[in-house]
Amino acid sequence: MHISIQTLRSLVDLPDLSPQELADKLTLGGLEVEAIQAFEDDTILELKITPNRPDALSHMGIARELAAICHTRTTFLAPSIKELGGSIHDLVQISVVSKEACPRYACRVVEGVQIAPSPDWLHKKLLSLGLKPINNIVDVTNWVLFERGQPLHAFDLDTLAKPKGRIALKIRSASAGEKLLTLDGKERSLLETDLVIADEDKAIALAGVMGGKITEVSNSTQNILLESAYFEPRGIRKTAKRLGLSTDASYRFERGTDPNGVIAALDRAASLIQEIAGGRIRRDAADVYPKVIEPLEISLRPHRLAQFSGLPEVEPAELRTRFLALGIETSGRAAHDALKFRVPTFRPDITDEIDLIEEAMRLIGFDQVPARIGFRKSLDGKSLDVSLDKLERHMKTFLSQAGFFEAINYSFGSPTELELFKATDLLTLQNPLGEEYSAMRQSLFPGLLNNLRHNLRQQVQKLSLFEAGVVFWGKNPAGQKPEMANLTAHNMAADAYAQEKLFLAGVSYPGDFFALKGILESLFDSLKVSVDFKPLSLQLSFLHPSQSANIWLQDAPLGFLGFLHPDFKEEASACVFALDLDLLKSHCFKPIQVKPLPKFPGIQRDLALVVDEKVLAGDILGVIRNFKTLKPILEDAKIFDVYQGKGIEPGKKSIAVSIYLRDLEKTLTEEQVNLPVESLKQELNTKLGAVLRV
Amino acid sequence: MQLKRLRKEAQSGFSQCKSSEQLEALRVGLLGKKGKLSEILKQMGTLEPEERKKVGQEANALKQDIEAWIEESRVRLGQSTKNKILGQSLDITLPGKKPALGAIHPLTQTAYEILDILGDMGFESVRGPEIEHDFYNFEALNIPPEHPAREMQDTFYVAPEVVLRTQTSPVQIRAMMALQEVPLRVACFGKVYRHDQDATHSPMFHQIEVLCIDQDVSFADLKGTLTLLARKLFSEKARVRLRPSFFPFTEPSAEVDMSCFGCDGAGCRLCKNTGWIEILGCGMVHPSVLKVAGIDSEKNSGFAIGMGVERMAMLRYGVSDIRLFFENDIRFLGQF
Repeated sequence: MHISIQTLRSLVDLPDLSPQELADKLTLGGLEVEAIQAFEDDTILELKITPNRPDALSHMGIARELAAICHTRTTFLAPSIKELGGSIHDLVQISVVSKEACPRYACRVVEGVQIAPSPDWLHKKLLSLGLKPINNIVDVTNWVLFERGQPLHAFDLDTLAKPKGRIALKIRSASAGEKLLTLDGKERSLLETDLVIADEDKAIALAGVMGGKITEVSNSTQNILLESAYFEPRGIRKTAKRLGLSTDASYRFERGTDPNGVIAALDRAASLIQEIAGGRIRRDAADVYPKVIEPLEISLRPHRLAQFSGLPEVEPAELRTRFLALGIETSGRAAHDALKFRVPTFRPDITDEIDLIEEAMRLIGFDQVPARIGFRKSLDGKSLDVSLDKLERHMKTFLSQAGFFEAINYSFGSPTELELFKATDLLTLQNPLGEEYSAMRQSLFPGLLNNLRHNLRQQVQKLSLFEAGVVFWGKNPAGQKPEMANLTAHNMAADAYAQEKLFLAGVSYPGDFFALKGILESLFDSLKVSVDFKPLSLQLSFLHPSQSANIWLQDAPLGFLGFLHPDFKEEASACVFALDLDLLKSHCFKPIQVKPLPKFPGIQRDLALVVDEKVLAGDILGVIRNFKTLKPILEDAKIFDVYQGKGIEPGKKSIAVSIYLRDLEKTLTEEQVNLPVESLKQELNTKLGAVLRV
Repeated sequence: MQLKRLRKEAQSGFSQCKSSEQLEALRVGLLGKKGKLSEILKQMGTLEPEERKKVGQEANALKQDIEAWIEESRVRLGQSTKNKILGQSLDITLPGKKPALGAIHPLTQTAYEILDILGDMGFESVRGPEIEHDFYNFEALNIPPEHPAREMQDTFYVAPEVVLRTQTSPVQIRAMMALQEVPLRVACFGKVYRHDQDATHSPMFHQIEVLCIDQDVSFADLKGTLTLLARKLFSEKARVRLRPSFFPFTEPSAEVDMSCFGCDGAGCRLCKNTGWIEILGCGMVHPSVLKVAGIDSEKNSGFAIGMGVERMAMLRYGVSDIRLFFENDIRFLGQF
């Protein structure tokens, strides 16, 4: 919003401050000045007013603020009015049908005006505020809006229906489908939730938002009906938002104007019109205000202010003076420890003690509050579950040190891309930025593969990326009405709408299955978790069916690892993996119990076994590890060589295993070892058809 | 005669010996079972006693000398191996064999640093859903339907009254409802979403929410926490300035400026000559928010801080286009 410093100076006794100094005072008072511009001999401040301060959307509002900040006073003049002729009541009758939506509606009639361009001073004022001058009547209504914050509207009186010589104005809900051509030339189709001003025949204005075209003030207008009203904010906002129509009027009404400032603004505009466009103001204002909105009385406890702000206790006298400049008056004596104030109706944001505390702190200045840290450090009672964060951080650190770069992608993506990764029950957005951002991701791969392609286009030849992020698995069957939720320290999201899972996925290009498997194995070692890599048994159509593995944590699927399916063409030479961190978190970071170091030497036996080429190394290790006779002394078994070729029959392969044996109680003897190893060979032969290589 | 010749032969052999293999061959050739000296000694039985004594003495002297020469040669050869190794040099300017090194994303790095500073102050890290009920994202935070404050945040909808959270503040409500106890100190790092996209706005970005509730927590505590945070994160000399502002769920609310770390407040391009850089928003938790979460607002008070992680990272690393964070270009990520 634009504010003219010249106009400000006519409304408040300001000390001799430069525009920059004034701007700084306003900014530190919470009315942020975003820009300062010269306009002819004036200076214009551009302010960003927060939505809680409709009172500051005018020159008088800003003047009041400055008076309070600079310890000075406003010089507002009460509008005077010269009435002439018959009473408005002989000509206009108002009936407010929608009483809740329109608590107050008032108007005046000015007859015999001369429509002309505005005089220079008004012309210049409007231009300086970024407004387009139209004619002397419309310009006055616009100017009074910027002066006082009260939106006004002028109708051409002679365009209104006048059966029996009287105008019957109705403030009512629109009927569904009712049409109104608004000032901007657009025909609007209305709903029952919209409020209109209507004459006997038709709607003539969209209340609080925009006037109608037919009743617009034109060059031939002679008599005008001037409207000033207070509309209930929510209704105006609904209509303005639905029609995408934000006007200076609707902007103020939807934030809350002053119901008790309606007549002053009306009189001010009427007399200004009379002054510059001539004409006679009919006697009386029509004013329908059945239920007067009274100022609120609110208590403030000075000790509460001190406690809450960290400021030393403020003298009541000081508070009273500060508040008075804002128009907040002292209201008698309240309880022994509290002061009582009457809050004017132009401050709808002040409804409670906390709002007065804020006003006091704002006026005294946030810079007066000391900086300290006095809150208790100890955390008694319940502790929160932070294991997921710890795991996520551990994994990110590990992978980044193993050559992976962390990527961060949008959580929404294209449904077609997501469906390549076996998406079901995709949650979609009702108002996405575009089709390609319309579905909540169920997989991290579309993002990672896009990143891979992007980098390959930049001639990168080798790349490893990972991303840790939430994926969305459809609606949460346990989701509840939030008000019914029973949240606990271990489940703060019991009532969540969606099933949100934290996954970590990675891609490595060009892929090296065993290099990636090795990194994951080390990662699991670092977490002290043991997992099993097994041939793909869960249907994952985007993976190479025979060069991929499911990773199992006990009996639960923890994730997978492997080459992408050849359908992916260029990216198919990439290896990928994904892990479910929600599952992993409950199995890692178990407390460590140290085992005593072995006191007796161990024995190593190497076996070279010839087996059918379909036999898996894992099967051999499985047989060895589960062989009962050897179990008491088996420490470890490792594959150290796989060979196919000369000396080995086609269709067979040789697998070499080292077996590490140790007795914790005594030194193993050859005799103790030979017999069980012999029967192991037998077992391997029976179970897997393995024979010793000769 | 034989011995004299052998002595000469041996002497020149040792003096010309160049390797430990040659030395060993020499030793075996002389002193081995079938060595030349051993052969001579074996034949001594055939000599006259007087002759035998003379040759015996001579042979023993030669044997002792040979042993000395072996030792001498060993020392000489050892010296030359060591010298040889010492003589070999490496071009230490050739590149090393580096294990591949990646990096944690700059946004994550920034967030972790902030969480660590907060962690030292006793704030525990929590998380909440990204698809959130209107209740937590708006209503419990004092933003009823049709409130103009909703306009400050353009919202993505998943279903009626179900949104992509526009802020991490709903986690405040969840933490308070879940714990129902004070002191409560939590921090939440996470993704948030707004219907907005250009060089300075991303439809998805990250926030860190900080919440501290206890008896007698005051605005001064908030100011202290912010000062400490700015000093640890940006500069030891950092000062903070709080300007009154408006967020529906805090009162009073403030925008926080930090003295510019580029010029220490003197004015430079970074701070557009103002000396200050806006870094975050904060305030005292509104009593009605405490009430919704079931916390007695007469006995307790607290502050909340919400900061944009992208903004912090852009300031720290001099990044001017927010989209760089989500392109995941290795030439960018590789710099962290």
